[in-house]
Amino acid sequence: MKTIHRSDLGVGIGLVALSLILYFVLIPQGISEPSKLSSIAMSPRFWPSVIAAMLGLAGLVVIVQQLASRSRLGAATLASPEEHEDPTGAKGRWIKAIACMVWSFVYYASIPYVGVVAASFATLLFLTWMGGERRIVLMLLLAVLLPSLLYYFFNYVAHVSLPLGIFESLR
Amino acid sequence: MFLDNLGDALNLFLAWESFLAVFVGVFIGIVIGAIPGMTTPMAVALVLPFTFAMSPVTGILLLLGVYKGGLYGGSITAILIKTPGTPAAACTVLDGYPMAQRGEARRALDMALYASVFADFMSNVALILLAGTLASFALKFGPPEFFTLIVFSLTIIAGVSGDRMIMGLVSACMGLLLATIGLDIIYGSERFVFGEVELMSGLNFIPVLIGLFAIPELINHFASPPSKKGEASALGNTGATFADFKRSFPSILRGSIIGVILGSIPGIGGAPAAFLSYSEARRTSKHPETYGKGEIDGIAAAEAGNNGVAGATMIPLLALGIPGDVITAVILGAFMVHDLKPGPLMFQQNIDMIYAIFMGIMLSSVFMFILGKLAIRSLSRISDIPNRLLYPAVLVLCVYGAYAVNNSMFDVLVMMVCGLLGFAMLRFAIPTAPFLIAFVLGALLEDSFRQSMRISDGNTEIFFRSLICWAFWALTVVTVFLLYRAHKKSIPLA
Repeated sequence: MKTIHRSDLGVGIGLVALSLILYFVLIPQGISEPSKLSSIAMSPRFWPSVIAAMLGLAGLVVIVQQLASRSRLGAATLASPEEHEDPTGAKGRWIKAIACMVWSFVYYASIPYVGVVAASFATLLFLTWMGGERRIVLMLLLAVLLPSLLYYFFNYVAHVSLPLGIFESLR
Repeated sequence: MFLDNLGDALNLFLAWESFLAVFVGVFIGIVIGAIPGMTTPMAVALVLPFTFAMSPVTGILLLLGVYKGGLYGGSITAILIKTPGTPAAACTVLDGYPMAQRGEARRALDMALYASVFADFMSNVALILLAGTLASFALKFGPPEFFTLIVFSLTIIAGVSGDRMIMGLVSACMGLLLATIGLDIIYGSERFVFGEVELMSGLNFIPVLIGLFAIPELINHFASPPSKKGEASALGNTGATFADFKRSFPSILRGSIIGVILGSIPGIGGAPAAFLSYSEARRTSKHPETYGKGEIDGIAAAEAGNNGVAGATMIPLLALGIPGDVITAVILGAFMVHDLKPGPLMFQQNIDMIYAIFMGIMLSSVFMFILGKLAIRSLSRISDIPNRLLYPAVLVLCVYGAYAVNNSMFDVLVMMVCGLLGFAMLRFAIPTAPFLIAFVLGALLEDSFRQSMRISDGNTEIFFRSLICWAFWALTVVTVFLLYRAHKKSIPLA
C-alpha cells in the first residue's frame, strides 16, 4: 500500500525550491566550466544539472500526488510520520532532541579548545543525564573511561594524533 | 612437479609463525573493522611496517588476515548500533539493525558470520582454481561496462524505497548530488567547493555513513516517546539455525559468485558487490516486502557479496600484478619490499610461495569463523547496554572515528551535518538507504560515464559496445519492469 504523508506537500515544495536554487545559483556559481567542451556531457556541470532536474521533477510529482490525494481523501485522512506517537510530553521530548542537536555542535566546536577527551567527558555526562541516568558513579565511570580508552587506542595503537586543546602539554 | 611444489609450499607454510600471523591478522581485522572510522585499508597500512622483518609468506599472510577480518568486522557494529564500520557494511545495516531491535541480534550476527565465512571460502577457491580465467575476463571491463554495471546496481534503490518510491528517488538524488562535491576528474574544476580546501577531495564515505545512520538514532532517542525508547534490545538467546542457513543458502551462494566476479575486476570493491547481491536476493525473494525490515536473508546476501570479493581481489594482483583496490595496492607494496613481483612470472619462479599463500588464505576462513564466534559472544554484549548510556557512548565513538579517517575536524562536522540531514529524513519518512547507495556508487557512476564519453568523443553508442554492456542493460530493463509491475500491484485502484 502506497503511503502519502501530510508533510509531503512541504517536502515537494522544498524540493522544487532546492532544484531551482541548484540550477540557477549553486551550479553556475559553484562549478566553473572550461571554455572548450567536446560534448555537453563532458561538462563538469552536466551531472549536477541532471540531478537538479531530477530533484525538481520528483518534487513536482510529490506536490501533484499530495494535491490529488487531498482532493480525493481530504487532508485529515493522510498519514503522518508522527501520528503513531504518544502526544504526552511531546514538547519536552522535542526540547531534549533540540538540546541534543545543539550540544552535538557545541561538542564539535569545543574540541579544538579543550581537546577531544575533555569535550567527550562533558558530552557523556550531559547526554546520559538528559537521557534519564541518575547513577553518578556509573556516569562518571563512563565519562572518564570511554574517552580515555579511545584516546589511548587511537593515539598509541592507531597513531592518530587526536587534538588535546589546552591539555596538549599532557601528551 | 606439482607434488614437489606442494611439498616446498608446505615447508614454507607449516611454521607456527604462519598460523600465528593469520590468527593475529584476522583478529586485528575484526576489531578494527568493528570500529567506525577505522577502515580496513588503514588497518592494513598500519600493520605493513611490522611485516618488514618477517618472512615474505608470514608477512603477506598477516596482511591478508587483517583484510579478511576487516571485511567481516564492519558488520558487527552495523548490526548492533547501526554504525557501519566500512562502506560495504552499510548494506548490512538495512536488515541487521531492525533484527537487533527485535531482539534477534545474535541471529543476525551469526548469519553475517556464516555468510561471510562461506563467501570468503568460495572466493579463496575461485582464487586458487580460476585466477587465470577470471583475470582475463576482468580485463574486458572498461568504463562503459562499469557504467552499465553501476546502472544495474542502482535498480536496488527502487527495492529499498518500500512504498515511498518517489521519496526513494529524491533520497538517491541527494546522495548523487553529495557525491559530485570535490574536484572534477576530467578537467580538475572545483564543484561545490566554494573555497573550502577540505571539500576539494570530496566528502569521505565514513563520516557521511556514520552521520546518516548513527546520529539520527541518538536524536530520535530523545525525540521519541518513552514507550519507544525502551532499553536496548537484548541479544536474544537463539542464534541462527541450520534451517536459517539452508533457507538463505541460495542468496549466500549467489552473493558469493557476485562477490567473486566483481572482486576480480580492479577498482570495484566490496560495496557494489554487497548492494548488487542484496538487490538480487530481494528481486528473487517470494517476500521482497520484508527486506529492509529485518530480513535475515538480506544480511546473508549483503555479507556474502561483501566478503566474496576478498579472495577475488587477489586474482588480478597475483595473476597480472595489478592491484584492484587500495588494500591490494598495500599488499603489492609488501610483495615488493620482499623483492617479489606478483604476475605471471611469479607463478613460474615462486610457485611454492603462491601455494603457501593459498594455504594461509584457506586457513583464514577457519580462523574467521572461530574468532567471529568469539567476537559475537563478547562484542555483542553492547546490545545489553541501556540506550540512555549506549547512544551518548556511540556519539563519542563516532566523533573519534570520524576524526581518525583523515585527522580532520572537518570530517567531524560533515558527520554532524549528515546526522541532522538523516534525522530530518527520518522525520519526513524519506528512506535513507537510497541516499547511501547513490552516494557510495555515485562517483563510480559519473566517472565511468564521463570516461566512456571521453573515449568515444561523445558518442553514446559506446554504452552498447560489448556483450557485457548488453547483458547489463537487459538485466536493468527486466528488473525495472518487474519492479514497476510489483509497485503497480501494491497500489489499489482508487
